[in-house]
Amino acid sequence: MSAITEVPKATEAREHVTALYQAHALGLVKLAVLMVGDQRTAEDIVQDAFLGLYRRWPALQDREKAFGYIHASVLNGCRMIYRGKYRRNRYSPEEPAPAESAEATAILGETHREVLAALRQLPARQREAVVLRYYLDMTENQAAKTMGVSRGTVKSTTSRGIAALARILKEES
Amino acid sequence: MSAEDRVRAATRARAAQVTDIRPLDLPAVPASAPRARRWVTWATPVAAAAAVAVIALSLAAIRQAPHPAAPVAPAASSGVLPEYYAALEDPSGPITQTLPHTHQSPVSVQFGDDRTGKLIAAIDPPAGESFAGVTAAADDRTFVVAAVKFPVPALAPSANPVAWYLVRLSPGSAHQVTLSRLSVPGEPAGTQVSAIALAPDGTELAVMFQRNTWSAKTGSLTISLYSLATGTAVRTWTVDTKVFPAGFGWYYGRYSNTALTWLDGGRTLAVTYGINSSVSGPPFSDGFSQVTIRTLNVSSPSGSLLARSKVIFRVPNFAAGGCDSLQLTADGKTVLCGEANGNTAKRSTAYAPEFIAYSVATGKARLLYQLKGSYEVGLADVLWASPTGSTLLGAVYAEATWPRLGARQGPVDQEAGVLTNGEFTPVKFPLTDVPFAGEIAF
Repeated sequence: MSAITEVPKATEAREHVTALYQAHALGLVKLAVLMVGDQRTAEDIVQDAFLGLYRRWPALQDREKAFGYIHASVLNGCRMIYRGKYRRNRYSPEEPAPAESAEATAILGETHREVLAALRQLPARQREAVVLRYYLDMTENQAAKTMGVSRGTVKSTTSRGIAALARILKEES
Repeated sequence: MSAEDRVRAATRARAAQVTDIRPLDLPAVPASAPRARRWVTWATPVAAAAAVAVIALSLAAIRQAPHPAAPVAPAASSGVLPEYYAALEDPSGPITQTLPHTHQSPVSVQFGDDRTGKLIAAIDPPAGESFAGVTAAADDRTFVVAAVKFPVPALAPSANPVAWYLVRLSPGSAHQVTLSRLSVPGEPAGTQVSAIALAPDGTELAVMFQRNTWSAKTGSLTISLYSLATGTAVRTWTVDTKVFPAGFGWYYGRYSNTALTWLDGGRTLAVTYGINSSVSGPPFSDGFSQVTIRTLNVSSPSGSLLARSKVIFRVPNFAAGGCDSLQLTADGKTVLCGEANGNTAKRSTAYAPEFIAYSVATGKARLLYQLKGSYEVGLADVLWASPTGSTLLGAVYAEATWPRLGARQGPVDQEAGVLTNGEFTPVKFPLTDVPFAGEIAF
């Protein structure tokens, strides 16, 4: 029987991180698109999250937590877009703030466009809670764990977000 | 409609527009150690799992069933079924792409009688190895199993084969199972094996693989035909490609044994071939498009796979639904497809796993069976088919709710069974989980 030879660490990291990307990136980009509006920025955020994981891989001790790290990194990247702190590595810093892609929204129905526009008017935390609860169908506990806040905070933030959204939609109708 | 419902509908409609994203762009070498403080929040103490560098040379352990085990399930009634099976037994649970699979223990291989449910024997892999693939000859008693290095990294795609073993089954004899290592070479790290198929006479092994699959310099999609007697590749056909993974099959812990099948008594290979245009991959096949079945005369010289083979069937509208597994019947007239269209869509019976038979001549589809239920994610695999396709053995798996955060949320339905004339008769193998394509051979 052959003896074990260690796979070089860079190769191992690449294989693991690429496999995670294959399995989860599309879903994460969808989530980020809802948070930040345009797909290009969403892809940047997700790429950077995986790049961060790749860089940290050699020191990662519990690899079962890798997906949790990626998920949190993506949400954090989305929040930073709204705080103006996100380093846009791939595009000029002079680029305007991301907006909902005109091409993408053009083929959505009017009703959906209104809702997405209203969603973008919410404060980042409210939008995050609403998206986690109603796009991903997370429970309050799951959303709390993902956002790093208490269940009560999720409940109140979601409630305020939905109320604000309903108000915006009513005002615009 | 409530505001919540409007949010659901609008966000899902917008998310559905995102269907294609660019590949991951990683530098050649990851940076050195990260800032510990940030990472510590995600790390847990080092466990004994680090126990890794096992360099063992022990032989595989063969466990003969001490007494014929009691039947574990009603036997399949069809007389056309093959008598014996070899199946991978993974104590770590089922492999589906909905959950990261952790390889806590080596995968062994079990041999049994599928008509009676009796377990005949089990083989543990040699120390430091785990089994990842199994394929059968036509005599129903000769098998080849592929071994990968163990421990298998968590969350990794299927590992490269490090050894191949020949297993012969002799039920009723003093030594019911014999195992011997083949001289067929392993593959270097980074090679992704997508499918394997042992020739009907048990003398040759076809392997579809791609080297350096996940690297910047992706290798050609290759089918090599190895002589079991000498271990040498007697023929090799390739397709130069920049996509990865390129071969239709499994990529998460198993080697498919249905994406390559033998026809004409071993003169022809049927190859499931597709273009992988997205980041997703099998077992959920929505990353593939333009999926075809090609036939390859194995006496043709080595060279271009596309030039030497011909398309005999093009799966209609593959991108719209896809098939988790495809199998051309031995008579060449029918393509059997296991599919489940759903992934992240709203729970629906439309996403239940099902089997479809396509006519090669007309392309017309006929629904053979659908698992009844309301699901968000599913998987259906053809495990074996009779020469005309009138009987198939298949496995279905479905979850009521998509496990969005890597944690299973909803109930799971799974079963294997024999499908004849629209009747699905469950078969329970004495395994931890229902076997899927690549995990069982007949």
